[in-house]
Amino acid sequence: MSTSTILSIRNLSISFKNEISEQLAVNNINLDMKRSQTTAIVGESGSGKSVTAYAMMQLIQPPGKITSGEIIFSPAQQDSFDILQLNDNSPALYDLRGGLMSMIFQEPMTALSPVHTIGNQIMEAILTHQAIQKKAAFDLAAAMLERVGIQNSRERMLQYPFEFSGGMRQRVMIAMALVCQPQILICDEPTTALDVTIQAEILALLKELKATIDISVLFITHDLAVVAQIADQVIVMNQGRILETGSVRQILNDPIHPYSQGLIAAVPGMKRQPRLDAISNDSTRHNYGVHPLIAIKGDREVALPMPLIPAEYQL
Amino acid sequence: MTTRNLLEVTNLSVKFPLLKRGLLSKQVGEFTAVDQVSFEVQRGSVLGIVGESGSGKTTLVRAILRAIEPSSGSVLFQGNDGAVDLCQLTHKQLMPLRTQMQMIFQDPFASLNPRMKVADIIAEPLVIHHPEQHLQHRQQVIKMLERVGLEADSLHRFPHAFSGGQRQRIGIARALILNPSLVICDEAVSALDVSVQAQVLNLLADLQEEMNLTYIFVAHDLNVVHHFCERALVMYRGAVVESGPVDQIFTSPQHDYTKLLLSAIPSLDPDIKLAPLDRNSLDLG
Repeated sequence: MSTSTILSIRNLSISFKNEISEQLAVNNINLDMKRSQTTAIVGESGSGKSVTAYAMMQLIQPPGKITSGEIIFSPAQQDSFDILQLNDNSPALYDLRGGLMSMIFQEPMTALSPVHTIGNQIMEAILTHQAIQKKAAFDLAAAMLERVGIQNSRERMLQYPFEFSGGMRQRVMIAMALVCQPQILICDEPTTALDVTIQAEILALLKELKATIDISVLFITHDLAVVAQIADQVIVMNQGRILETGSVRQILNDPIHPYSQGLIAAVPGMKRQPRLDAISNDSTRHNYGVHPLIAIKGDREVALPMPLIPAEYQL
Repeated sequence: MTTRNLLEVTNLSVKFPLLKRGLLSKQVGEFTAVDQVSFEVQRGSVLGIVGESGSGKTTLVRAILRAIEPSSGSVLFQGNDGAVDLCQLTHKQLMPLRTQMQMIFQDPFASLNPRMKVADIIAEPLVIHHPEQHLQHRQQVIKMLERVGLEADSLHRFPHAFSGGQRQRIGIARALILNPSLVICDEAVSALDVSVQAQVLNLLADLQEEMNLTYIFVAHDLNVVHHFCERALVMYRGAVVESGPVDQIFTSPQHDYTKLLLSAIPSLDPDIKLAPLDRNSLDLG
């Protein structure tokens, strides 16, 4: 495996089963995350993007089950290993969660505990993963809060989540995620619940942190404008399958798959148009068909049969 | 009041008392959530209200419907029987007028009763306002379901069996079943994915044409407002800082706060970098 790939998912399938039926939330996907880059997964709700990320930290809860595949993680200065082979109680898994890899969630209100102070919650992450004194952990956490733009961090450490605004809570989440210097940061719709002005601030913060810390980011969102601003690589998912991969410019300026084109057309733009091109409803959504990903020119892939791929893209 | 205007709001203010903590709480001050807001809405048009959270948009539209009591000001509504000031009426007098103004809520999960079947949810306004016609309710509900693009077999299901977009359609059906003239959409598409959002926006536009509706559309997503509305108000800290045709607001914003909002919209083009203005350097008043 090349060292430019930090994480590589092979043939991953995740199913959710009930008494009546079995639903494949993720259907045999393959993807590579490049080291020190931002990879974005876009898709509608139900496309399997969050489930994929949860699998990376072995956070799939029953009735969900990983039915096949491997997730090869190659951290710097360590041997690569398959995350899915780790035992539920293995120390390596504890190391991974919050240590080598951490996650920012969509809802900063529900992701933080309302009955613990901000400081306690950040220090908990540090004390779990590092053998240091409480005092040192306090200093480390306060410094991290300053780093994400929270002033008076020593006083703020003693406050509870309800004393913070939505944007500030998301900053706290970012501090908590980064305080153990993970190598992969998973952002699960971190700006979806925020106002446009606060979203701009959080995106600016993430970009600024990304420029100073060497970290690989997996960014999950349905907002293509956010993708345009933050991603290097883009993966388009629908119905548990990957439909198209490529660089952010390739996907946004020149999408090949009709579903990617539909997603982009559904964004209400600055130009006024009488109607939005909504992606057709559930009945026709399946009509893209099931096709394997085919590599095409420009180091990108698309899940379409060969005849439907424009000739200039075919290898 | 000219008959072209469906709604005329003049100097509407909403103030909340600030109470001292403790058992014998006494009022120590006032918080002005909506400050002297005036605007008018033409029949058949769409007015957008934008602003960040805490700017008073939701309080304003709730005060218009008297769901929150306004502290001062007037709301002239051109009802079927002539113009009335909603602020002067008692709740009993308001009841017949409520059929003419309805609301669609943001959260399609919280705004539908999980223990009621879809048929009962949509029929509830009819049961309240037209109980004497109960034999026709079922027919009207089925017609409405079809209009908002839901299958007839949805009638006997509970809300949990539906996706976010479908739930929002149920909310729309409930709002429109009384054939209102004014519909207030409070962040009606904010919780939805882009593609579902596009479907719901298209549905709202179609229904507006078919049923001759007037919308007040509250949103924090400026692109949605630009797409959907003709005129817009920009609110900041309870006051309207700018208003006018949407195109004008977007192309030549006058107030610093509007400029800040516009600069925060990420572009779909990866080569146009997001460069939000600095809030502290602006004169936000």
